[in-house]
Amino acid sequence: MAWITDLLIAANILALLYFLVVNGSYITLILLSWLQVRESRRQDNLFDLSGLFDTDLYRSASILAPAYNEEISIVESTRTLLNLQFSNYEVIVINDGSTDRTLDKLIENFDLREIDRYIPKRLETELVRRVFGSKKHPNLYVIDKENGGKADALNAGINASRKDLIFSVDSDSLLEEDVLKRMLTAFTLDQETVAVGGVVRVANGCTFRHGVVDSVRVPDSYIERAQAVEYLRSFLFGRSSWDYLDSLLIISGAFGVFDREAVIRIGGYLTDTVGEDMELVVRLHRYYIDNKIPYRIRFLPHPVCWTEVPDNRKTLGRQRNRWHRGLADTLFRHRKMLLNPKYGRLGLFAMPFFLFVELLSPVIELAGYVLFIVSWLLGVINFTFFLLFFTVALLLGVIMSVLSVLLEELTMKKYDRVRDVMVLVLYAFLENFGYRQMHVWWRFRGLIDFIRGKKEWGKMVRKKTF
Amino acid sequence: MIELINDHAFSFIYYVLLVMAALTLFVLVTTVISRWYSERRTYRRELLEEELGEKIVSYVSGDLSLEEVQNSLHNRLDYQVMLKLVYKLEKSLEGVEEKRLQELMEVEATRDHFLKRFKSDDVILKAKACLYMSRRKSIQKESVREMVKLSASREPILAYAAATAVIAHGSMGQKATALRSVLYNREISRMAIGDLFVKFSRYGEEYHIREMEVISAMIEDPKVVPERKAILIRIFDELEYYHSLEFLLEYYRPDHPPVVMKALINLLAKFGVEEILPDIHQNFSVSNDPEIRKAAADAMGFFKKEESIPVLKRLLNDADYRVRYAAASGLAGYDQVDLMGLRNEVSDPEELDKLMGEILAEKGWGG
Repeated sequence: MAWITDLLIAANILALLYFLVVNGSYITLILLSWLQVRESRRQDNLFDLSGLFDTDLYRSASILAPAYNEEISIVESTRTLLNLQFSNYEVIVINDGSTDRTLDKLIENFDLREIDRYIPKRLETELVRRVFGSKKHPNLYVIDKENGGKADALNAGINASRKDLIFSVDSDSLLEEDVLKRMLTAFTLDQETVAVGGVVRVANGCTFRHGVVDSVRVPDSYIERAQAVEYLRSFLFGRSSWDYLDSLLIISGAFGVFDREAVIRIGGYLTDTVGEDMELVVRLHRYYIDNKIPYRIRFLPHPVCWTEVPDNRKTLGRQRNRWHRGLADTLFRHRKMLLNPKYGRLGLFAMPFFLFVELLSPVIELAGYVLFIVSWLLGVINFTFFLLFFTVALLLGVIMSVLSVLLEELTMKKYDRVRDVMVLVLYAFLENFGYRQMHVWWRFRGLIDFIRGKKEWGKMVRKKTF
Repeated sequence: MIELINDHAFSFIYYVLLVMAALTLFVLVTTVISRWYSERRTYRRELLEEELGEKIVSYVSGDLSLEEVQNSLHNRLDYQVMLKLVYKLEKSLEGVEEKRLQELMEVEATRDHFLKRFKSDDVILKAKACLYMSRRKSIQKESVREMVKLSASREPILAYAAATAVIAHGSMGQKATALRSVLYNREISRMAIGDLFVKFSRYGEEYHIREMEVISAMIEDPKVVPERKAILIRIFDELEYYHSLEFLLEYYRPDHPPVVMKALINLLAKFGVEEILPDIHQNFSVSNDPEIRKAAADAMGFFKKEESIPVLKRLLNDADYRVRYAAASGLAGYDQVDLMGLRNEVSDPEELDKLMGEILAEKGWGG
């Protein structure tokens, strides 16, 4: 019996250490991101002064918007894409075999007609049935193809693109007008840039007028508010810190710009994964490092894309399950990079972080909960220790989230009212009771589903925020 | 350790809760202060923009004197707002009004502010100072010399900003040195380089003879890498330097690296230099590089010479789709070519139909 006690004590200490290391590294990353966001802001300001973008010598861009059963939001989101401030760009909406009225709505609202547009098969895709052009908008094209999933739709868009850069966006997201210009600064600053990601923010609760954000507010429900805090912590400041370390592994599928030739060179998006966005970025890293070609992959904290997040547990659970399967799949496919000095900071720091902290944390956290209950029941630890551990874990989680809210307030100030900031601070506490545990569970299920080989996307339900 | 924790757990919890409370309070106070400060600043800025905007417009129209505008400038924010307004107005004014607006850039306090930034070690502040100086009417020769040195900085932002200022104020020799430094710096993007050469041309004289000579010398410079040489050749096209033709003909040799050759073929074809056609038929159309074959197909489509038709037909079966597209597009421009008959010349008639459909629709002949 004594050995069980010893084992449980050791496991408890290990769990405690894991929590401290994980949360400590998160807090460090958030602090690093502050430096990065500050520097990026100064650079951004410089571009306003330089008079750049006065000439036509800049790189052109194709915006690729894959759409599958998006009849609710497709017209508004396409309209927004057509109103961006940029001189040389085309919008390619890819109707990925929708079974609803997505295509009809596009045809009706944008005066589309079938056109001849040669689409070379540089990347293999499902059959492209028709291509439409718009009489009203000469830079709008709609590709109607057989269903093949988001990655396949993006590949079809890449084949159809005639521009230097491809800009992948989700059809249910809304871009701020100046995003293309802002994203292009990274390509202008550094010749070796091949991909740039921007910030995805929670649109729920905000109001929009004519495709432009009118007021920024926190959403209404617990689950949406918890996500608002999470998006700040993970997607804004988390990614800024990876950019600071020049080791960015994820560019959100909802909002990323890539050098088209670079993407074609590595074979485009993979169609047999649900984490195609992360996988593409990791493959780009791998290609350039393997071939010893200098490159940069950047994250910019100022260009903003507003996205509608799930407002119910079922949809959110499916989304997080999919994200976690995508993460597992990418790390598994590129396991050669893990702890491999050839890949520098990526192999020695970013990949292990994503494996031990992002991927395995649900397993360890769930095991921690079980371990604590068993230890308590067996009398290895008393209730006060149990309470203490929980409080410390809570404190570290809260510090991370509160720091993110604070940094948001000190750098971006996107939320219009102090009240909203205070709500976010409150949810930095509250997300630890319920949301965190659900999140752990969804991600744990995601990992199990990955092991079982599940590759379904899962149905997403939208409620039309824009 | 476990015993220690068990014994003092409630004290620990108490401290942890205390830290959380302190943290929340800290965020609350910081948020309120930061909001108050930011909103106050925004309000003041908006008010200032309105007031100063009116004064600047009156000043450039000649209704107010420079002294009167100067008297309304008291602190750093006033000057920041003034500069922002000047930058905004700059693009929309010309002639006397533009000159009067430029006088505002010369206000002593603004000059001193940027001079301090110029002396700082911070790359971005230095770059901002250089960009400010690029907008001034004139600057000291010593400053120009300093900026020529800065244009060789490894920091792309600083090198770009310094070169911008040298282009605005330097002698032709200094401009050439700065531009050369920028060309040597591989971290500076082709977009930024293009931008600098457009500015270089804007500040030049009417026929841009000297500018053309400077660019030509850079194209011949062995230290400039082929990719950058190709950019310079494309810049001749962008800036419409037709008088560069003599240089280009002299420079033209079929053994240049592919990236340079491609730019040369494109430009010489645009300039209508038919002398390159034999090379196009015999060498470039069978090059190993698809970019060269595409440039050759584009050029043949441009010249529309009968002897190019068989070559273009051959290129309709090229391995690279861009070459096939260019060949189809070129053939579509020949009156004497039976487009339907081309289906017999290709291995994939369906693809040709799609290509031709798009090409003809774009030319306004169908679709």
